[in-house]
Amino acid sequence: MRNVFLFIRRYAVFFLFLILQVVAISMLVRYNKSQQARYMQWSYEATGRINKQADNLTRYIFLNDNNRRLAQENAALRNQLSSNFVQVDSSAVLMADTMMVDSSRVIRKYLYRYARVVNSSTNLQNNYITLERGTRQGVAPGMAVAAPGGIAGLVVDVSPNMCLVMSLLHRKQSTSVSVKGRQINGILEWDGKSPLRLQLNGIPKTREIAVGDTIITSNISMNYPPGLIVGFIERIDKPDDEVNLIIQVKSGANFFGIEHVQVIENTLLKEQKALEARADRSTN
Amino acid sequence: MSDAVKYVLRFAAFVIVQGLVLSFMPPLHRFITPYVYLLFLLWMPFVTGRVAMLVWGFLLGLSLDFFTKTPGLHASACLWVAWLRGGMINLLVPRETKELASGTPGARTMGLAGYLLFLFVLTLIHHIWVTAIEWLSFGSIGYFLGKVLLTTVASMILYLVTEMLFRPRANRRRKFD
Repeated sequence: MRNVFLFIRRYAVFFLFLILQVVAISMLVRYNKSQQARYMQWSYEATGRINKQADNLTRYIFLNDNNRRLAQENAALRNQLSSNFVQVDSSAVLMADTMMVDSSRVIRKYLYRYARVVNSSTNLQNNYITLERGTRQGVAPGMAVAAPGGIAGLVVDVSPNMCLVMSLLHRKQSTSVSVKGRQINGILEWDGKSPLRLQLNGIPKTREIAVGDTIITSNISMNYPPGLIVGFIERIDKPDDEVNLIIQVKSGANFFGIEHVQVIENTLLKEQKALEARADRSTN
Repeated sequence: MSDAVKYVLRFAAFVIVQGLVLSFMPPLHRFITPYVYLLFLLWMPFVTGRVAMLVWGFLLGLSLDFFTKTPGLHASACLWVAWLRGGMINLLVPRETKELASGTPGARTMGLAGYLLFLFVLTLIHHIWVTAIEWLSFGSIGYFLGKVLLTTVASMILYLVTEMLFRPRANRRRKFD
């Protein structure tokens, strides 16, 4: 027994090194496994506050560019207003008293909330954007985030006043998109190499597609409203040994100077998911 | 100013500069992320205990991790630096200089070549570890080597700039010896 204690005493520093190393690695592994590691939440609030101060300093640098983008964004949004609503077709519903139902009623499907960016990164493998808006301000995981010029990512974690957005520049993100005017659907991903280029996968070589085409969010995306601009095709490669095209996309959003974003809530998402889950259950 | 206050302030300064500026700059190149916060560990006095080094290293890495949203990544790399620093000093510094209470690693105490070697090797280890973990599940060997080497070189340049800005006394004294 005494020898054991002597041994531990002699290598105490080494054991401390090992213990701390194991703590660090296990934190990393646990965090990477689940995108929503709960125990990081307190740190969002703390670093969020510091980041906000720093952000106040740097925000003037991008003021001009952001004003221009916001003006463009406003114009685009005004044009889109009607598309935020879906018409409920009630003509096929049998009703005892039609006076009770307003058949021309519209319901809001997408709700836009303004949010301010307090932190963002572009040079890591998994990049996140921190917004100053949390559960208290109506944000929940799964909501879409659009920046002026294009979509930015998905909310993956929230704390009372902050939320964490998985940016498009994230190794694990994949977004369902389509090519505007061509009815081609694909998956937008990021290979982690250049923050200036995203990759559009899943489009066979046989499809007609051209450099400069606009990429928009597809109508089958759960989180994003259809038709939002994602980016523009920059380069198309046709490798001999692949079935699919390799398409490089320049993102519409400027991830380097991102400051103001819209958090978009799909109010019918819960209903859609519940319905699809029911279908899954009944077929299994 | 007492030493403890000095170290806490220096700690905060390095973490804030690294966490708010250097780690979030638009990348200079896909290989290069400049790191300077490691200097906090490298500049600790020779007489710092090994346990104290490990604790400082862990805290330094973890503080940066909260800014970069990678809990454990930099903490783990800093632990390696804190752990291997003692051995490097044993190799490079004569015993009598090492036992001076005020001795810290620098060109004056270690010689310019020794000091640069000390910075280079420990920084290389840090970057190898960070890049290896980051690229463990993806990426190729070319990326790995390119990123490790170029990031190390970029860090070395930043170290020299920091050295000239904040530690001019050490250089001047060497000239008049």
